[in-house]
Amino acid sequence: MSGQMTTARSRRIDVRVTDEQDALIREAAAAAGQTVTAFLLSAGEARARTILDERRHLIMSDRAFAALAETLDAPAQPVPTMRELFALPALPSE
Amino acid sequence: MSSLRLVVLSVEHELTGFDCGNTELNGWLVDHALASQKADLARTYVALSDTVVAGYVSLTTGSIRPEAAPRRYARGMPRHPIPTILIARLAVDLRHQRQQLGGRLLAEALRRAVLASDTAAARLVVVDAIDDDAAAFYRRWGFIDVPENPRRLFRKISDIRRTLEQP
Repeated sequence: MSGQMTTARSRRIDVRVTDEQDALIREAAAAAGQTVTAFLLSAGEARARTILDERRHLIMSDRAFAALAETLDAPAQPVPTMRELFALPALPSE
Repeated sequence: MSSLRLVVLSVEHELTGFDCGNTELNGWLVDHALASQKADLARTYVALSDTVVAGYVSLTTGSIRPEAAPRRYARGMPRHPIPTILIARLAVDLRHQRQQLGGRLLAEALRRAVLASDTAAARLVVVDAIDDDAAAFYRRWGFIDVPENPRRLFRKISDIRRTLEQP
């Protein structure tokens, strides 16, 4: 993503857990063959990416981007196959 | 066939039994859709049969940008990210498939995308197809593959608006 973001692990997140949570997480991490840190990071990171949906932002080469940007200025054209889509019965909203 | 209506997702809706045949799309609806809604990260619309979800579509915003850092641009090259409305997920429960509910959900999502861009400009609708069948579904309705981004398709919002205005 951003070029300025560092890959060194210089930040801490402190989390307090109950005995039960501690035992549960340690057991699951061992079962997964991971350290507790790696286990928590992979689980948290996966959930964070899903929630924030980082796939929202697309990147392409300069050349492809320039070609796409150029098509934006072309006059609007109706899309024949999309007419059929809008001809389907509308879903009423309340 | 019971009549369907489209509403914004809320806590009253029965989500747990939803099965579109894809575990990722099922899981997102059950585990994340409401949280994303509350955090204003995605707006999810559900097609309801009574209180049961027959299908859903979630919309959010996104962008397309070139990979190079701005200082590398030659003069005159486009550099601003293109704002997009993203159809991030669309799914229909197995019991409601083959009845064109997917197409109807897509049509409603596109109508809302056009309205959204009337208020806060976006240039493209981008769809995130979960697999090759989904990509074929979007192509069938006139979507075009995004270069260099597999299973992402797009259409200019101006084209969609024109299609709506000239049926």
